[in-house]
Amino acid sequence: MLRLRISHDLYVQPDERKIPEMKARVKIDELIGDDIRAHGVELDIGRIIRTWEERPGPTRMPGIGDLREWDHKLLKKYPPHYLPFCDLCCLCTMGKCDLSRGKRGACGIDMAAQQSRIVLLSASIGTATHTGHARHLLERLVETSGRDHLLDIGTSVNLEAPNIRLVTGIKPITLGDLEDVLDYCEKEITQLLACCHTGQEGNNIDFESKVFHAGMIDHVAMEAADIAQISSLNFPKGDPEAALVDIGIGCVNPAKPSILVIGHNVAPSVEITDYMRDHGLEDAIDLAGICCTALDLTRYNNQAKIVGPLSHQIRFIRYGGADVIVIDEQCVRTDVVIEAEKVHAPVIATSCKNFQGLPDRTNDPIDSIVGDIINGKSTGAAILDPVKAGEVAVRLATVMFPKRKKFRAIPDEATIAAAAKTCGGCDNCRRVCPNDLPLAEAIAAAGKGNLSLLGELYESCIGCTRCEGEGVCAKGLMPHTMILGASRIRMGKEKFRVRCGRGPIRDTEIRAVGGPIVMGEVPGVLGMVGCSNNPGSWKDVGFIAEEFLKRRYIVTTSGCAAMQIGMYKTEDGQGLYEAYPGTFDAGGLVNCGSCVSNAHISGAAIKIANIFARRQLNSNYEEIADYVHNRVGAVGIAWGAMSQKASSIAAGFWRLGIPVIVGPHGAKYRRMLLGRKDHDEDWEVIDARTGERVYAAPTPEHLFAVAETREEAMVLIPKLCMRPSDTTKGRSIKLNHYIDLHRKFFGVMPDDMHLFVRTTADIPVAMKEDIQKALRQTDWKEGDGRIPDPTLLPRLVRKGGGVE
Amino acid sequence: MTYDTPWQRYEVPGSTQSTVVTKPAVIAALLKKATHPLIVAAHLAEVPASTAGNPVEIIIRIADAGKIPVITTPSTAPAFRKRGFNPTATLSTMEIGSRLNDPDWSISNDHQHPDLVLFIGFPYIMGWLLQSGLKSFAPKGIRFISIDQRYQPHCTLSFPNLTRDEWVTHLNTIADEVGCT
Repeated sequence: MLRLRISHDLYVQPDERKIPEMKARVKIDELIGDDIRAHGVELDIGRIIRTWEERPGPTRMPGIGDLREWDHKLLKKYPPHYLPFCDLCCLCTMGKCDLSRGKRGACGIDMAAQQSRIVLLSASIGTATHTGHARHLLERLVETSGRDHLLDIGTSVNLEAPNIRLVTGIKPITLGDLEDVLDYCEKEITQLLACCHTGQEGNNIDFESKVFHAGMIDHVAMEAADIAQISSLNFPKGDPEAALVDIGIGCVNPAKPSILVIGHNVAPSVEITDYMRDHGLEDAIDLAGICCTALDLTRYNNQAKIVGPLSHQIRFIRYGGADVIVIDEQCVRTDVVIEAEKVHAPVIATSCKNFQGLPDRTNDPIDSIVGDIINGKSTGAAILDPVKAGEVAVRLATVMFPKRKKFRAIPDEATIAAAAKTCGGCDNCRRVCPNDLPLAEAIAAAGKGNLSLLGELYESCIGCTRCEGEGVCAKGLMPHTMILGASRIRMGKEKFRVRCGRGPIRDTEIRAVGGPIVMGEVPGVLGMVGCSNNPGSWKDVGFIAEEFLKRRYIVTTSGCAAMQIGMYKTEDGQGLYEAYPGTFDAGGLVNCGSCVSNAHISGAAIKIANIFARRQLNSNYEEIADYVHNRVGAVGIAWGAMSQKASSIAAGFWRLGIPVIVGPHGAKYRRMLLGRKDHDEDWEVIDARTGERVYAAPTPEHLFAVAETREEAMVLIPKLCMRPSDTTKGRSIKLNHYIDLHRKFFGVMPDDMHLFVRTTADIPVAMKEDIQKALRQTDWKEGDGRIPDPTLLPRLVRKGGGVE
Repeated sequence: MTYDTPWQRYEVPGSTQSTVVTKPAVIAALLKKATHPLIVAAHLAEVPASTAGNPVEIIIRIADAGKIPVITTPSTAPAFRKRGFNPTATLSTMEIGSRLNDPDWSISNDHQHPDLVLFIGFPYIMGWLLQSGLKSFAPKGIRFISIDQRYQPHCTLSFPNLTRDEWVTHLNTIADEVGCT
């Protein structure tokens, strides 16, 4: 037999929606040519890839070095500023090595490269986690819907997968196409992780470039996951009026059996819902969730409840609200089984990534699993079959409800006051609290009968329970539990509304607002994302959102941030999702969905470049990123960022040139990407019309920055929304918000305002006199009024020459 | 040399850590000796009044007495302005770190990099990380001194963990000493 192998991919342009799975093997019984005659020829082709109407650009499925030049441009403008978490490196057995004060480790690495390596490790973990989630979800959906199941993101969304098309060149049509996408992601993650090995990359800037690569891959994987579940599970498809659903501990009815789901992979929650529907139990059992599984569950079943973000896990478990706890993957408390035991609630683990030490009962009969748990032979079970897990959870909830009687692990007021009297005031609890909360002061007050100080800590406590760690309190006090005890009544009344995730931004919305965003007339697009690791009250997230909604910014959101926005009320007592529309338009509050829905936020920026500006999308990352960076006034805010996934999500925005602001805890990501507004030479762009280099001001000034207070974040947001392409009207609007917020919070006009006023036409009319007076006190000179067609890429200059 | 334990118990530094200053007059003496001192203040400098005084007011006294430039973070500046003191510059915490790492940066017109920097008012973890970055990336030979209420391990010198009254008393001692010619 003659066997031919072709290592390259074969491109075909099929009739789009009629091609089922394509086999890449050809058998030829007899091959006859002028100089050849063969029998039984087999032809294996690496892969058959559907092409689409747009020709591929220069970077189809880029490898870890293919966008290095673009990354280096950004990193020159925004050099890394490192904040080492430790002086040491302890990654190999030649160490530990002290890298502080210019020293190098045994392998030769210096502190800058080591910090970048850790950032890369973090971003790679985040990307791997989203990709692993996408892979497991896709496997499940292929199993239930079939590989040929057509992707359907809604009739108003023709550009269904902007990240995927941009990066991989694949225009996915079926679920099966997403397998190719994930193959690529997994390959890149392997290479990225390999770079973290001892004796690989040694230069910090090259490490940083790889961090960007991890971020870009992350958004591809997230997009694959979300469009797969939207299509297969019939989630809202870009619907601005997606249902409002209940959120808050008080929404879960204590008079009913309840199931709590925690995690990110919605597959088991779907099966619980289906089982309840099939057996007429929808009204008999409350189904509620924590973290992104909850958000995705409500996209499938909007009768389900959301308990709250990550910080609500232990408080809800100890509150006794769950009769059964079903966990899947990511952001699940690793002591969930121990916590559940305290309230006699069984735990069902449904992901092989997260067994939690429970016995694997996947292949056991359901009656046997349920019986063993009810009889106390087991505290739970791992069941990797979602259908079986769904039935077990529902049956257990029904039986456990009367047995548990909503048993709580929260003390009453009298018990707290009595215990508090023993506090010695050593402050050890405060000294292990990530938020440095004044726990000892509050406990001392409780000892005197005043529990209000403990209650006031409820919103600022991130629920980590470090204060209750072994040996922290010599008297054995449990400060977190005392906070919960002092907050029992408010927990029962905690009820809000959140719009369930709508998924992608419609193409029609992009057409309508693309122009105003690029011109600057919509002052900016905010992506409020991330976790609940807030430095203060969770309400700060809603407070920030409300300010910018009032100012007619477009506020997009996802994940735990979307929940926290819901858990905030205006002065009028209205929820923000009730007060503002869900449209991607000025003053709209757009909840895209769960963590993986973040890809729709980056996707919206990409869509503006493609749909509005008609820039080529297919495999054309650098040009699209250049467009987004210089024109799309978008900013990410991850006020309570905690996870490695948050770092990879941010990295995906960085590579597109979109700035990200984090709260104080975000400094623990170990490095910022800060511009220097005092270095004029850093802020030149190329005018694509002429090839001239022109000063474009620090727009945007930073790519990754920490804000010390929520007020600093709120002043930074409008500043980072400025772009070189702003029209005079647009710049005037953006300046108006920047100066107004600066005055509002800091009492004076900003001292760098002169950098952003290009001509008097940029000056907001209402502030003209004050601004002109302030400008006269600086060396400000009126510009010539020309607004560049800005780019960082010489190849995009339309007129030949002029640029090196 | 004596050390204290980091206020946040799990924020363990590395091979070296700040020497504790129990006599604030030592800091006053170093300030007087420095040719380009700088004070950097963040928002926790404005704390509820202590019987011993207000840290922001004391910083102003130190700055006035020693003719020392003051950089504040944006949230901190109003506390200084309302007392009639205009900070020399306003920069975010991380921007301050980035500038201090740059050997060519100067707050004054003589183009000299600061040779001694006092830090006050930082949320613990932000101060910790800012100073950790400076420890490894700032030009050599600069004295970084934390005069916050809590011991910061990444500086050259730091106050130990103090009560609020002890802290304000220490700050007053520095102001008194700097004011003495």
